[in-house]
Amino acid sequence: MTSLEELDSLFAQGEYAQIAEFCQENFEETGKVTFVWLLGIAQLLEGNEETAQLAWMSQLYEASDEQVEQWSLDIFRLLNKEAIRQEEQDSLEHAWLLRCHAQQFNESDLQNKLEAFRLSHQLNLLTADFYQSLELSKTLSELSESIEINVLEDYRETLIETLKISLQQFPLLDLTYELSEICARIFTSDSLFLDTILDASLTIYYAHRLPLRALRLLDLCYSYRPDHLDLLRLIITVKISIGDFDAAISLAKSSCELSKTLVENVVCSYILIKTYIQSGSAWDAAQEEAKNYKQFLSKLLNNSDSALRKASVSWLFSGGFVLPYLEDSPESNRDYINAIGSFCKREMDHFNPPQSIEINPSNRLRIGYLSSCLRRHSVGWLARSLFNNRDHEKFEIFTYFVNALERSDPIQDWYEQSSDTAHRFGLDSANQISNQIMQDKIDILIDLDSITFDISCEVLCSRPAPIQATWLGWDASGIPSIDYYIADPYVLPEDADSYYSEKIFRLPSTYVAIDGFEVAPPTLSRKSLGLEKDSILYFSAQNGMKRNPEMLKLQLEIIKAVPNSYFLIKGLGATEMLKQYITDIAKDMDIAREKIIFLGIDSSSEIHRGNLSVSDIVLDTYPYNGATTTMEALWMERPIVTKVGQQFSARNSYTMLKNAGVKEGIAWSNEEYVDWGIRLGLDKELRDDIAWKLKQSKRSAPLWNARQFTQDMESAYLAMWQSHSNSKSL
Amino acid sequence: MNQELAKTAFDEGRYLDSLAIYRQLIEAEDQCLTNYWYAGTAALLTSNEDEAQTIWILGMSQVPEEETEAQSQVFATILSRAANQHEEREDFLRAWSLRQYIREFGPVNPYNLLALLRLSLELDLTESNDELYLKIERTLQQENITEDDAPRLVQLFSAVLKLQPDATDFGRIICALTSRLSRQQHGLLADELMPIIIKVGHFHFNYPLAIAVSEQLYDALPGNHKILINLVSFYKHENLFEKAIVRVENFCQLASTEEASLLGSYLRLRLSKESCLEWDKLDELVSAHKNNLDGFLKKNPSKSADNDLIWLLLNSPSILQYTSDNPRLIRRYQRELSQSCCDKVFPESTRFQHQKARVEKKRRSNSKIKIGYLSHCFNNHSVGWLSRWLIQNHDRERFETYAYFITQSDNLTFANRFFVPYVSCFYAVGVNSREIAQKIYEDEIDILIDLDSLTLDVSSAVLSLKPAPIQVTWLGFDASELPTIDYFIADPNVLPEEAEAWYKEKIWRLSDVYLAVDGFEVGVPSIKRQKLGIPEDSVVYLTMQNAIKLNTDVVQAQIDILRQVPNSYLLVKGLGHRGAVRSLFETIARKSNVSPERLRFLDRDNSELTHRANLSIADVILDTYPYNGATTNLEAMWMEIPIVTQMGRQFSSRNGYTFLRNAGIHEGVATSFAEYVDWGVSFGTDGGLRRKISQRLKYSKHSAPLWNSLAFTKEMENAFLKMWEIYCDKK
Repeated sequence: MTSLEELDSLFAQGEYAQIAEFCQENFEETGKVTFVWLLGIAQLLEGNEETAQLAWMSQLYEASDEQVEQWSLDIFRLLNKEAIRQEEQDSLEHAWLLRCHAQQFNESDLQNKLEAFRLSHQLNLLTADFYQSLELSKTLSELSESIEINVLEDYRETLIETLKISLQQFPLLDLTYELSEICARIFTSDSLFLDTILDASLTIYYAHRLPLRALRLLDLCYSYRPDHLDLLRLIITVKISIGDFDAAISLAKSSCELSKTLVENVVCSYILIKTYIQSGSAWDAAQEEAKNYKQFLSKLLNNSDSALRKASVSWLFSGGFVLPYLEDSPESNRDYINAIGSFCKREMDHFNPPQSIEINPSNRLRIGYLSSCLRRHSVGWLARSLFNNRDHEKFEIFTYFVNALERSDPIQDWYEQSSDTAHRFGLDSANQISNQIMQDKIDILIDLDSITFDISCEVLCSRPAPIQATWLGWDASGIPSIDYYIADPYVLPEDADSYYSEKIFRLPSTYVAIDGFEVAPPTLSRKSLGLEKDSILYFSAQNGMKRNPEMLKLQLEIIKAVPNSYFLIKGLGATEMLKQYITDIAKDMDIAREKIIFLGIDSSSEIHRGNLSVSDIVLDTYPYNGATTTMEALWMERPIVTKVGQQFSARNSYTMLKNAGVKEGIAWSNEEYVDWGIRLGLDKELRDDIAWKLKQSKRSAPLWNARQFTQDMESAYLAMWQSHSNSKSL
Repeated sequence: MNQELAKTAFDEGRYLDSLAIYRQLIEAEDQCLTNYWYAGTAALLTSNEDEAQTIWILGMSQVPEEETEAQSQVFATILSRAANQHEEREDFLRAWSLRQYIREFGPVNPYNLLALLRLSLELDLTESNDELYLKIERTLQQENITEDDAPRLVQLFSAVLKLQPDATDFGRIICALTSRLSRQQHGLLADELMPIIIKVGHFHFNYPLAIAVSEQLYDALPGNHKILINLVSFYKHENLFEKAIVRVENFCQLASTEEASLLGSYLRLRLSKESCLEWDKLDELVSAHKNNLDGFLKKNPSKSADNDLIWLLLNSPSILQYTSDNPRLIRRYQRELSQSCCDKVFPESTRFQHQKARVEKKRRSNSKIKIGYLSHCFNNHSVGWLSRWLIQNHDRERFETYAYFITQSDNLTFANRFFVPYVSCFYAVGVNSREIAQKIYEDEIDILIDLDSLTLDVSSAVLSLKPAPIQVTWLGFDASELPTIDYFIADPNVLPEEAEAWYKEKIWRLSDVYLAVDGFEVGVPSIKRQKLGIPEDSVVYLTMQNAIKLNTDVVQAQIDILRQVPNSYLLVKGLGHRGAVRSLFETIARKSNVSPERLRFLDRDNSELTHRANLSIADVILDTYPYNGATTNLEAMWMEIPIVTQMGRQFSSRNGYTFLRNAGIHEGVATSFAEYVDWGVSFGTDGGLRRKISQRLKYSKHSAPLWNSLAFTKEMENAFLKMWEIYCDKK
């Protein structure tokens, strides 16, 4: 007769065969069911699941309901106890096995289920099926109804872990959503839960690119934290991405009302403006809000002893982004942008004090290209010349791909192969990048992002290279540690030096040039659009941010004045809201609805370019021109009408036309814009002249002479280097 | 006494028993050495490898020096027998084990090594095979191969070949072996070897090796057309046209039958055209070829004639299309030849029959018509680029489309992108024409579209078996005149009015143009005038045809244009013997007082997309005659560059004409070389005219049927339906 203590120590030693024997004997002798339970456990641990089940069932089958209830709990208790011991002895598989079986004897024990979940995850055995079989949300729900809240607190840590793992491994399952919902409900004021859910939705949105799923979780969080600004901002972003501008605007307004600190005021106001502009149909509201925004911004920038969080500074870099869309006032806009640049650098220096740089010993100049866009992206399409045509003997190219770890992209691969050395970085890597650049002893760092990417801004603030210049990505950033902004004779007016903090380096002809674009066969035709072959087709393809009512009206005036003409409008943000807005304006101007045709975006850039051949004339936007879109139109030999302004973003099309050798279509006022539009629509020969000129221009015009452009750029590099050397030796 | 017992046991396979006895014998210090060899073998065969080694080493230590070689041979013989026995029983592992020891302790023996290779392939033990291949190669080169050895070796070779050894390594072994075999033995081997040599060349791209082996085989078996065909093909890849010509001449001299003569003159003429060598001999070669065609057609091929050879003759008339525009004659040749070859190789009794019942069944069930597309060009080949539009646009409500891609390659990238998603079923079929025809028949294809015509023997074979009741030739080439083809797709312009009389097929003329595309993918240009040393303001002509399409008349005309247009340049691009092409142009240039400085010979681009983009360096494209470009003209038109073309009467001489006409352009279409030159000069000196044409080409994209593949598809589909109706009524 073996005692329970003896059996217990046998368990501790893992002598399961012996235990089985003894239990068998003891049960035969005493008839105590406990021995059957223990027998079963031993069998289980020996790998004889069926035998274990048989043993237990054979007793339970004969038992009364009461007995079953009691006995089930007993078995459960014993299994639980053994599971704990097994885990202490590091036999995780056994522990898990025991807990899985324990579940069947007590469905309502949450702790056991959570442990089983955790163990399966540790053992890498966590499958969706198993997850579902645990019915965690159901159990949790029932539990929460029957016991006190403070008891649930005991589960808090385990539940957070469980929730985290579920969101990580099964982010898209309904189960996970249910679990999130219940946790949020039970632990209402517990920010850790909501933060966990929030993080998961970030991943679902950014990495998995599933806005609706992300939104589901985000709305859940929102219902408990309607005043959480970061949350609001994320929801707004997602809503915009699915085109729900009504919701986005309303949320943006709420966030403005909720904002308390000055920084929050700035951020929320900015978001509201951007949302207005992106909707393409709230222009006046945007202008109004811009006034508030500038006030907030000024206050913030003039506050000399603010100590902002790093995240806020990062955000603030791009604070000037919306300004050129709103008005063509480069002096005023650049004041703000420069002020932001200085402010942010000062703040950033607290976090990343600048370090000393070593000189590159080799006799080839090391050029570093810093970019998040050297891939299938405007910048990616346009920067290839410098890699294709460079002088290997004089220059070494180092490329730093920002936010590029997850990405697989043929153009990115091309850049990588065309560089002498290339490094890829993920998010949150500014320090790593700066260090790498310093390690590589880069002489001239070329910034292709400007204010469009905060990590790049951070890198440039820390000045990892002796010479830094911004090119191509956007207007200049105003960051004090950037020495040059690369331009040409046309894209910046003569007096621009007075309001740029960078030194403007004007290349002799053009600030950008390429060998050409890849073009696919068109997928549209006049026939497929239901149009006659001799109709006049005007075309505008921009994202919604670049559209404003003033330009739309000018464009529609042109359409109205040219018989048999149509306006093809294409672009992101061409939501129902925008379409309605445009058709309303057209209606007010007595223009037939059929003359406006909305096109969906094409599945690739190559197809977009191919489809340009369907149209006759491209109408540019103002105060924010097309850039790549203009170049594509010119490559496809389409005449363009553009209004030239004062700021960089209002002169891109101008410099491109000049560098393609075309002067037609360049307007200096609204009247001229309309005149050109009408003239081109009525005069086929003129259109043909321009198209022919554009065709011929491909042979030698500066815009298409990548080799010459590269030579000019490389001369610029040498001049910058010389200048730097001279100033050092002074 | 015991020894006998032991040996008997051994022979009967009772190795344990035999081993026991041998052990005793050895213990008792019996002096017979063979005991050791047998004992060890028995031990090895009963999984006592350690003991085996011990016994053998013991035995070897007792061998007197002068007997080493002899005993080594005895050893090898004993183990060999055992190995053979086990191989027969397919006990490959034991056999392998034995042969390893033969290799280690026996004399050098190529047969054993080869057998070892075969076993390693059977057992998938291929890791250390590199060394083995090398050893075999060396052994074959050095060792004596007796008359007796040879057949066994050849047999073993066949066995190994079936197991698909590494082609390049094995190719070298083949080379070593064939150099030691007699002619008779070569014959045995040739059939087995050719497929693997083809792999070595066309799939592993080791042309030098393929050439080396093929040359040896051909030297041993001169006049063997199979070897010759492949050898010539390998030579071409290495630009060794002169060598190919020598071989073909030799073949021609040896030819004793009409069919062999015809094949010879065909290959000879073709080589001459493709290489751009031998301008002075051209007329002679054409004459000889026509004579051979007459000769062959006069008498029916004998029953004993090799079917494979006969089939190779199928497109022998088509080469004449490159040398003259005489459709009446060439079509007649083709018709008679196709009839004759088809009747010999695929007589009616071997072709598929189509039941009336099926027609009824289809009518009643109103099910979709099944269209099959047969081609070896569903990749980045002209036909692939051009045919995809029709296939993509098919109305899936009314038609089920099947594609049969004749290929031996794994690379289906192009097909996957442009064809597979658009058809109901896509099959990569091999090169066995009967199997392919069977598949098409079983799939119950109603209308089979032939995209290859005479350009591939496998396709012609498939079509000759008539696996579908209606067969239509489109796009790939001029019609094949096979008796089993019903229709040839044309349009009002690509064949002149009197053409119906020349063709056996019924000509189905579409209303506008026999082909339409939505356009081409164009990449980024990679050449500039400056880089080629050409001034920006010069007039640049471009000719971009493969050498086979060139002839002295065309080149003379192009040079004449240059002569009359000041500050003009001619760019020459295309496949062919570069040296010869260059020489041709430069010779004619010098003779005509045009400086060769005005010529540029361009390399091929790395992709079609770049090639198309690079076309825009030219002001004018110069086409060829009597064989026009087709895809090249379409690409030039897509890039909106004026073309000068000369048209004749045959299909291949009217592609330029039909495409330009469809775009509404008559300028640049000449009917004689004089006119061609005139147009070339006009285009060169009149920038306004060039611009006018370019513009018209641009606007044609809005409305010409040539660029509207959807409308074209609808028209083709109506044609298919009509063909089906006609067929049903006939039945």
